[in-house]
Amino acid sequence: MSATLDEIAGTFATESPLLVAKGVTKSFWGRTGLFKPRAENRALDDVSVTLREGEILGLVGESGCGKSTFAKVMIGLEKADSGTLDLGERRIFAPGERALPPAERGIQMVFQDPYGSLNPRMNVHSILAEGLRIRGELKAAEISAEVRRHLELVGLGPDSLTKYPHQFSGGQRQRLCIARAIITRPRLLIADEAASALDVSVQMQILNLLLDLRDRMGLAIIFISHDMAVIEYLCDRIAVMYRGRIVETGGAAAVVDHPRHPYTERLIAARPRVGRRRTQRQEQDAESMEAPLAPGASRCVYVERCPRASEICHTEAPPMEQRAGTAFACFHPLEDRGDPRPLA
Amino acid sequence: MTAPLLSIDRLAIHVRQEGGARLKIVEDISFDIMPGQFFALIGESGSGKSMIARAIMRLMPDEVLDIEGSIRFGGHDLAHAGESILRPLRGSQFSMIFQEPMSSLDPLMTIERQLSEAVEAHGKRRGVAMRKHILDLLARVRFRNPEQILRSYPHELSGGMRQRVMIASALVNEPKLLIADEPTTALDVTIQAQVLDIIASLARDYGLSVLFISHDLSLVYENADEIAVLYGGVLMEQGAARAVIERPAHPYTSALLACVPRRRRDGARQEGIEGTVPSVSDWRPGCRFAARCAYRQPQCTEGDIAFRMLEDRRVRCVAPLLEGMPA
Repeated sequence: MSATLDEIAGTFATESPLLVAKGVTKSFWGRTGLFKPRAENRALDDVSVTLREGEILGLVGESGCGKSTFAKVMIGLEKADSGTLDLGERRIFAPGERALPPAERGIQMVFQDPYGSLNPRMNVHSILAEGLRIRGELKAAEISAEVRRHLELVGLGPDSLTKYPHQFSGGQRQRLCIARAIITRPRLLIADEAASALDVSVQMQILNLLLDLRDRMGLAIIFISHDMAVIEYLCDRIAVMYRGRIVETGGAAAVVDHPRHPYTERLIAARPRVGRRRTQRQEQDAESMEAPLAPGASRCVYVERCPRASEICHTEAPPMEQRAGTAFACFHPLEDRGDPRPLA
Repeated sequence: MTAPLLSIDRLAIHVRQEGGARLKIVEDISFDIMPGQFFALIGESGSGKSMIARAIMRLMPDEVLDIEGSIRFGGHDLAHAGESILRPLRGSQFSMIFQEPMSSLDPLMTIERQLSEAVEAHGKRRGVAMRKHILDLLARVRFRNPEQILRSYPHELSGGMRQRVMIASALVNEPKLLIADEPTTALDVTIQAQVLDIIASLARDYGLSVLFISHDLSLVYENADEIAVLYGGVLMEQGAARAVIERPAHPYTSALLACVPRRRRDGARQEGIEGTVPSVSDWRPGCRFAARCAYRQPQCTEGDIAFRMLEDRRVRCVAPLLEGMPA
């Protein structure tokens, strides 16, 4: 199974993908100090992603890397500065064209905090029915039937219908959020850290629910997380983001087993793992106070933290290179784990 | 055999619930922390892990009615000592760091001012000696340029840097015990690994005892000497880290380990644990985990279950897994 997934990884896709994002760019303008001029902070820099029907893509990166901004741009909570997004035959946005309104995009989202995403004054039936009511395509009885069906789909009984969000546990609330997201039949579900706030013993239930929905409905999912262990469990493919750029992408197993980009390797090494004890870590002060990346900066985004950086990394942005099922943007990629190519 | 640094004996904590009802949210907690030991206390939400930490510091929220049992530390019983005894001990004998470092730092003071204040409060050092001591500490938590950090304000530092400043601040009066309550949860993964590594090396290299509180068993496995697993306000299992992880005796410990996501081979799923963590008001007599346990037996729900010795660890289970599951 993983071999075929590797083959179609990245731009190796043979059948036409469901989602195609090309060159998506988004900047925020802000001041770093009261008397400083407004400066451009590029949150997304030329982000391109493809996703097939029924595929789960893990978008991994640390806080501030742009992964949530990318999600917001896709569902329409933020507007991209440039780039195109297509979902199936639907053109979501493109330069010079009117962007599709969020409700017509066929993309739904589930957030990290199920407590903050549900209206405490609405009961479960109203919460789930709302999206369908607004569309006005179904009669009341049909809506009720859909609500019941989707409650069951996420593993909640009909006795939940008249309850309110505070009567549910965190895991159950996340199930409600998922039911609300899928009831309008989206083709793409974006889950932004959707399992991170849950108890460890409940997290796996939610991950398995997402797998079920993919299997049963052919739902495509973009799962945003900082947790490599969760990503590896859930996802077919991985895209690693750093400071607004995708630095590596490919089949999940290929990327985890043979990371090419030094940042990917670092993320994987940092993942806590049962079965490993007191390995000697690189002793380094990893954190430098990074200034916002200047737009169009011609250098590698990871250059400040990279142990392999050379002169060219400071003066040129590395292009995406493809090798054995993965694509990466690095001048000095790792050959295989523990066997790095000599520095140029 | 060395004497324990901290010895908790049959600790129970009662709180007042909304509406006035009295609830015991933590009970029958007994464990020792040895000098230089990295002791991990693992529990999910509502297990009482933070309450135990706060009981040691005696920084209790208002709804706490009373504490039973004892917390022995350096000849004192922290559970019942008065404020005049506790005040000089906090910071100089034991100190604590929290999940969100920003809320523990004063945004209007430089790091130098904040750290100096902590030293001056106990009056052990001053002037040049104090400054040198603070710079040494900042280097010990792996700042490349401690001088620059001293001049900084909290908002100029990243989350991981702030947490390292908090560690330095907690250690500024050379306490014997550091209580760390989910100190890495709010941090990015690569930074989380670094902060954890720093705390572990302080225990290893400087003989500091650490009580590390976390919801994540996989996080502490690399560094902990001893692991205690908490569920529903009671200890379920306690023993040497390696023994507990590699051969868990309690079905809950074993199930928690099975919840750590791994790669799926041929699409096979991991099960997770059925149901949800029970809230205090739903606790029933007998084992608190019984409702979710795959090995449940009639006697599990009949009455209190003792925390007893079993081979190399202690376990609270009527039918422990003698043959541990592979970790």
